[in-house]
Amino acid sequence: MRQARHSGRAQGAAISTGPAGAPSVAPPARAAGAPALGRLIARRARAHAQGAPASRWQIALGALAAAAMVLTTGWIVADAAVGGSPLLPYSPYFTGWLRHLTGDRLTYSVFLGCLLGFTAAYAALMPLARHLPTRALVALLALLYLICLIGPILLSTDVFSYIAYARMGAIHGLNPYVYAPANIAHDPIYPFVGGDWIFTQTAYGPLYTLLSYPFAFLGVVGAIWGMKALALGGCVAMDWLAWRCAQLRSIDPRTALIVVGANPLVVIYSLASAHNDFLMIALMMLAIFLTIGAPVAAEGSAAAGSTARVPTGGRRAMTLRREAWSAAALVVGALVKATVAAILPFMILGRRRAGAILGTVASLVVGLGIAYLAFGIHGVDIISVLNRDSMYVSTDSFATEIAHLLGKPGVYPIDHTILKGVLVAIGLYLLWRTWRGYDWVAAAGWALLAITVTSTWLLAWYLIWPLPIAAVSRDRRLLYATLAVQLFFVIHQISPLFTPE
Amino acid sequence: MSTLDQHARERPPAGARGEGLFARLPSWLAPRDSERRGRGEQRLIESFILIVVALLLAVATIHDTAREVGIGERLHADLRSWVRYTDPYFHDAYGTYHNPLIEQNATTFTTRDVVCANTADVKPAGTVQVCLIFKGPVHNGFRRAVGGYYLYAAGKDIHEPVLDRPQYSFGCFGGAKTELRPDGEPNCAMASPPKVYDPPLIGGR
Repeated sequence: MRQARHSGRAQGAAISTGPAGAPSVAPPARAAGAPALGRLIARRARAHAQGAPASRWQIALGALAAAAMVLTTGWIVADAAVGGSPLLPYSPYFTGWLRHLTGDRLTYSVFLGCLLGFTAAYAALMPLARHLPTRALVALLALLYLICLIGPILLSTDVFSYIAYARMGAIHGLNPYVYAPANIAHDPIYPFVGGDWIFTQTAYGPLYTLLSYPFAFLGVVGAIWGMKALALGGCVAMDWLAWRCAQLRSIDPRTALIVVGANPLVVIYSLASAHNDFLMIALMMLAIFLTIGAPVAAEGSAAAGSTARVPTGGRRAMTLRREAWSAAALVVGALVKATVAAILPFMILGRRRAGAILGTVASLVVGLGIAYLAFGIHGVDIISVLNRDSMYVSTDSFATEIAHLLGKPGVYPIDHTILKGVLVAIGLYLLWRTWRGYDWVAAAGWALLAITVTSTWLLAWYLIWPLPIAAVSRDRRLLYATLAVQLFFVIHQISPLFTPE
Repeated sequence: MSTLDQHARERPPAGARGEGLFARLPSWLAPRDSERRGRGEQRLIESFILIVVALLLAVATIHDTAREVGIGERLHADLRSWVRYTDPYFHDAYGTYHNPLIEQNATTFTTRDVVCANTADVKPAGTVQVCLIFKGPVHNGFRRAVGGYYLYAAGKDIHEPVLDRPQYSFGCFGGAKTELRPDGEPNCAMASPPKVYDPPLIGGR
């Protein structure tokens, strides 16, 4: 039963592990004594665990949910293409050919109504995904992503900051870790940079900044399309890696795909605004994929009953290389956006192998060396950037909400200190659990979730950080907790629905 | 199960103790490749804490959402009221205001909001805006202004917004003459409208 609880599979059915590591389901013992009911329960349990072909109503409900997702996304994008909405950042007008689809501006009520509709459809589709054809699910994601790709930038000015930093470095010869967009006030991208960020140096990792430089030469609109394509590539990579990791861990990959790829915060908030978080997450998932695919018994084999192999002889070198590359992928992810560095200690503690440490050190030396050559000492000073960002406060953060609940006007400096203390305590506890055999992937997911919940600067795209890990984690509590936190965030957005526009 | 058996179960398998240094650690400190099977207390406690945290977040979210609904109603009433006060021919709820600057006191538990805006469709930079101070509850979608002042709108481009600062405001009327801002400063520090363009003290980082 403990195994069943860990893997989140059917209750009432004992799960054993077949020779290839794929779970097989035996009917519960009492089924033999109660023929009709027992057979029914056993059949249901088997069908549930193995992702049986969908029944008619499952197909109908799945199609309805998919249609609702496409419709709501399309509605938001079509209305947004008209422009002039408070939900849109000041932006170059490059989606004029879409404006005649509806002719209406995007209002809060339409946006929030669509968001809630999308969220409800997502909730309905998640449990059905395991029964639906893979091609249909992939087609749904492709359609959603295509709609987001061709639409305008929604909700956030961050993509214009990415382009501004790229143009500063590539065209104006200014170090974006020293200078701010205010120093290129004559540049065509400048009017589109968010007012809060024009005096702020880049907070992104040096490798991402270097990667963004070529986009500077595409012009403003070309760079926006480039950033959109980059975000889409990262998002697709994230989905594919979530699929593969779920397969490796004997978790239904179709469910993982929908949990990650069709998430409202992924599609409507993050992809439609072309955020670079996808790149970081894709690298994080690549690291996890390389690690859990490595032939090492330490990959929670006892807990899940998998048949991971212990490396012997010549395979030891292969394992070492694979783990080194895995750690390197994480370090590269951290040099895209620093947050992902938080899961590195869990990987090292969970694996306790030289490969991860060697990979970390080598990639850090190379990555920071490149960053130093490109940007000087400011490019490698990630700590001060993190310290600066951790002092920001957003109205959507749980810290602010709890402060209001306690009758305080907002978050005070002492609250930052308390929250950091709580985060450190959670991190230490998770590290100890990992040291004592808890699944390091799940621990890393909890750590990312704790970072988002305790952060005073919470934005929608931060809440997708732990999602792919939660989708492939054997501790299903992580998935429920992540989805619950996301739901709270969505609920917090809906207040404009109750006030006149 | 004997104590010896229990101890044997708690000890990680030989391969799980790690190599070298780790193998010398006592069993309670040694790293493990998989968690030992316990009676589930740890999971129970963790789940209980998670549920408590989830409840706290849920309550805080709903409370804050309700609070924001109230603030949104105030904002809407403030804008409508500003139009009604400044437009003698006010007829409908959605009159005209331009370049609105709303300072809502949403951080302390008062209902004091200040709405500044232009009555004509002009670029705000270098113009004078009318500011009204609203206090009290919303009645039929409107709020009562207790006073106001004029604000010299400094700023040159989209990133230099109008700033409601005492050094840019003049001509206080009504309750604004005696009332102080939340930070203790007077509403109006300028004795008269500015005669020359004075570069604003903004964007100075």
